[in-house]
Amino acid sequence: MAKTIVNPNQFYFFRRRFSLLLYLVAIIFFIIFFEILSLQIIQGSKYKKLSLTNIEQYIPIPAPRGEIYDRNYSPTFDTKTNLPLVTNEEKIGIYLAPTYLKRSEAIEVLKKVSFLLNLDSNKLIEDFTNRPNYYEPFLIKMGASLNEISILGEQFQNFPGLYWQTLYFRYYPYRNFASHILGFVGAINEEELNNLKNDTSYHLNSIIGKIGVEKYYDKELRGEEGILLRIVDAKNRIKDSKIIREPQAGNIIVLTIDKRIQKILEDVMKGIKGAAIVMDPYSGEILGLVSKPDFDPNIFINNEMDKIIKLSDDPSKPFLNRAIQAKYPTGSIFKIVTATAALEEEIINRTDRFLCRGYFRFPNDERVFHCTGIHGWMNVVSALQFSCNVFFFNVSYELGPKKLLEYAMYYNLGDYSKIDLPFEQKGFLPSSSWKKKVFRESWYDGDTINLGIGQGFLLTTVLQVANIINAIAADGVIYQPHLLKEIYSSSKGELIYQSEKRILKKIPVSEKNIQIIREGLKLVGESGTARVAGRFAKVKFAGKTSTAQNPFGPPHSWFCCFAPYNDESNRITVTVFAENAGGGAEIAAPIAVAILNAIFYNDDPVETKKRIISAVEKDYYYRRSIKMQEKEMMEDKIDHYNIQF
Amino acid sequence: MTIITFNFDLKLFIFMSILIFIGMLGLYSASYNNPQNSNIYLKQFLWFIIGIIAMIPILTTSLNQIEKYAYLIYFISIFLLIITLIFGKTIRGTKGWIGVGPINFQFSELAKITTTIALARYLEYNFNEIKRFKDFFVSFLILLLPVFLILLQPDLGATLIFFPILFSMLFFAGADSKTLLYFILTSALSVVIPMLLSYYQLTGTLNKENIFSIILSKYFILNLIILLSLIWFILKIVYFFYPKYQALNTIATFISIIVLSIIFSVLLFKFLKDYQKKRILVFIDPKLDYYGVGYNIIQSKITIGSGGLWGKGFLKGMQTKLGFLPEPTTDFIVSVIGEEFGFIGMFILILIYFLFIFEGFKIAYRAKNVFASLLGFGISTMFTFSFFTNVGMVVGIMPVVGVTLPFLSYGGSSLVSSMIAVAILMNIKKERFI
Repeated sequence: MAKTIVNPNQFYFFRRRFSLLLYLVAIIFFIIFFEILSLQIIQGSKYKKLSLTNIEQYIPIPAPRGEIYDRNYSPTFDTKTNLPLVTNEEKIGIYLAPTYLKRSEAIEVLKKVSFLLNLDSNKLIEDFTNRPNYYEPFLIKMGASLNEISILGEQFQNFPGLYWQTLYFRYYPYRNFASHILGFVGAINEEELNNLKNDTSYHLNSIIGKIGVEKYYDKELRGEEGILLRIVDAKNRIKDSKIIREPQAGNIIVLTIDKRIQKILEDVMKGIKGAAIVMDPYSGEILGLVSKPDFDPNIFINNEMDKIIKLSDDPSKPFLNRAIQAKYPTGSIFKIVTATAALEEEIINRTDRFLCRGYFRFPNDERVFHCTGIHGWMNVVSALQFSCNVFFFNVSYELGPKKLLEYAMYYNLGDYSKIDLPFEQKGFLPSSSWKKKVFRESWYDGDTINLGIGQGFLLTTVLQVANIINAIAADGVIYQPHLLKEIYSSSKGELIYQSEKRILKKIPVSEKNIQIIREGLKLVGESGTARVAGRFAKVKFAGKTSTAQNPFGPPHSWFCCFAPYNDESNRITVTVFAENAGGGAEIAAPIAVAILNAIFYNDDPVETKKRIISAVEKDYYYRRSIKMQEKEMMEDKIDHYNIQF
Repeated sequence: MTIITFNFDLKLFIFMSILIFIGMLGLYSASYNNPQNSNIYLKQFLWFIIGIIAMIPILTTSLNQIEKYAYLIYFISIFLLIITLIFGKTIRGTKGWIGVGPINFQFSELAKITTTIALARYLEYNFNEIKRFKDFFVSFLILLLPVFLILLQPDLGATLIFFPILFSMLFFAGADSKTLLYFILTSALSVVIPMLLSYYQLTGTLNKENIFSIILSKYFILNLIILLSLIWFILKIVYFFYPKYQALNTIATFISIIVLSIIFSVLLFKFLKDYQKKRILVFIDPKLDYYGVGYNIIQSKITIGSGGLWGKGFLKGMQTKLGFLPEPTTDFIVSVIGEEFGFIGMFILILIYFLFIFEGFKIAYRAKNVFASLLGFGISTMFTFSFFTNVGMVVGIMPVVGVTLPFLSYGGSSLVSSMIAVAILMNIKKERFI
């Protein structure tokens, strides 16, 4: 075909197709135009924001957590002598953020840095590459010196992605001291984060108190993180940085704890499984609280997993705060409640007597309920002195369960004391409705009289028992137990908060009746169940022993008391509990007396304890009562909630 | 006596120069903080001078001469492509450059022009009568030769542009619209099917025991192709004897489209590299590969979008300065303009480009003969397609295939070839009446 010289636009199809093309071109340009319009104008602000988030990084600046001191803290004291119970150590961590780095670039940086810092570069690179998530910041060294930081800073341009951060590590200088009170901190977990999702000061990487005061007062202690604004380039190299908000250090917490008293408790309770509480009954301040066995909170900070696992698996449960978290059968100390009820309800007065032949029987019933001894005629004072079950069986039978429970509740049993520690338990008060639901049995009279002597289904915490003696010591008022004394601001050192005493419960008991009970309790130490320990006491005290039977082994040993008897200005209460340790007079009372002598006369409590315990073992009357118990146990059929001494 | 004329057109020259100037502004800013690259805009200017020098001989050549030597020019460029495959330098995974000292030239850029010239020459003889398969077939061959050679480098992006040029030239040479549609449909399906398959492969659906893995098994495909070809054959024979049943032919045509698409799809699917597949898919959903291939598109959109109405100001584009925008001197030069000069700047750029392309099509329409007209259309299509793919890629409506924007992106070969193309357009315009 010859080549056409003719002008193509003479052809109709050509002209038509040309217009078609023009439309197509116009459409193409319009699409482009519209897209640009969309990006720049319609969504312009969105992209503007995105371009800023590319380059702006908001880095939280950690704030130092507030320190915790005992009650002797004063802002004007020299902090060297005024050592905190909990403090912080400052460490600098050097990190690599590989977000925009290629793997080879990141490894180059690691090589250079490990050379400058004298680290094993092979191990460093191995650790770096073995991580599951490449983009997470990688810790190169924790605890770098200022010298090392300045060396790195000089050549900063050669280390894209490198940054360092000051971190504060919680430090418990006294280690196993007051560990259950203080608690420890750790990384926030999902559940905690969920519970705090409305509080913006908590985020994924927050450190939060886990137990103890660290947890309860976490908000006060944590302060406020600062914000650092960093402008970075695509390789995450820092171009500019600015502090937008300075970090606020956490507040200083001053506890009611007295270091000296706490030390006495720690020493004397060493090797015992149990708890001890020393309180000021007129304010509810806790001067010392110990639960053994315990732990060193530093293992959580240093992440010593082997130790943590060992302690977690330990069947003696060192993390359990036996003062507030565990419920135990109370035993004879409950007789104080029964006595209060009987006196107030005028079932008895000071002189009414019951005859104790060593056992008690219901009319027309064959069952025998044993006493701790054959006491003869008992009134309320002597019944408390010798802890006579028969007296209290009679009294509780007449009171009836409802009245007993009513007075138990006056003493705040079965309820929280609202101490400022997490995970407090509220013990357990049985009732007939409860018994029907759980055992499908109705409430028996036997249950009533067992309750009257503190056995049966009744369970209390050590703190609740302490409240009983607190009430007697403070004229029938239970003040709310608390650990917080004061809060100071870290930066300015000024007092922010001072706690005041609060009434938790007021027991409807007359002054006269309180005196009667006190009399009985005083005699306990002079010639009653705790007479052996009482011989060694250098202060006059009034207290009550308890030997609580339980299905898990030997009975629990309890003792609570207040001292000095005659001096209100100085008065403290001491409550001691030893799990499965034997009779109240055997272990708990000696410990309590050792504590008293140490507090008032600076005697070595461990020595005192040893001496009293060996004296108890040699005591004739005590050995006789043990024999009697053993004899009874062999003679009778044992129904576990019928045994009590 | 041959008259030596100098076919210089001011209008085209002005458009071209404005675009190059805008490009240099963008290049200056994009390389501002990069010490290695900071005089890239000067290099571009140097290429501009070389381009002007290259334009001069073309402007003095008449179109008839070009027509006479069309095939020679074509085969020289094929030869150069083969040389490139043997002796070429590999830059960024593509063996597409011939280097003399510090200067590198990419002959695939030139091949675009020469193939257009050759196609114009071939198609003018069959003007208005391109119906037979032979015509289509040969024009495809003319195209496939350089495409194949370029694919071997490998450089997918450079090959794409050949197809729209061919289709546009066929369109204006009077190709039968049904047949044209047929070819376009087949090509489109051959691309879409591998895209879908790649998507399923990437998202893991392919690896499981489901209907896709059955379909993709070799035996299934082979059997399918054979079966369908058989049906097509039968249909064609029946139609031959009973021509009144048009439907038979239509169905046969559809079947042949499917068969060919499948064949090409499979070839393409096996032939394409993973990262190329990823690039195509990622434009559907950049989040498929956020820190990899999708990153470019996302960053590009952020860069342009954050420019707003007035832009952030010359040299003040943070995205570019801080390195968030990848390839700011080549693929994403438009993003730089968008960030710094805003919507106003983009509008001016698009306007100039539009006027430029419109002028090109106008010239092609009014050309003196078929050859010149087809040549004009081919060249104008080339510029349109480059513009659309590059700017489309930058705003995120086209996949990232590495096509640069003529006159703006940094690249000596691209600039010189584009200027030569403009010179040819000038020739066509000035020789309207000879």
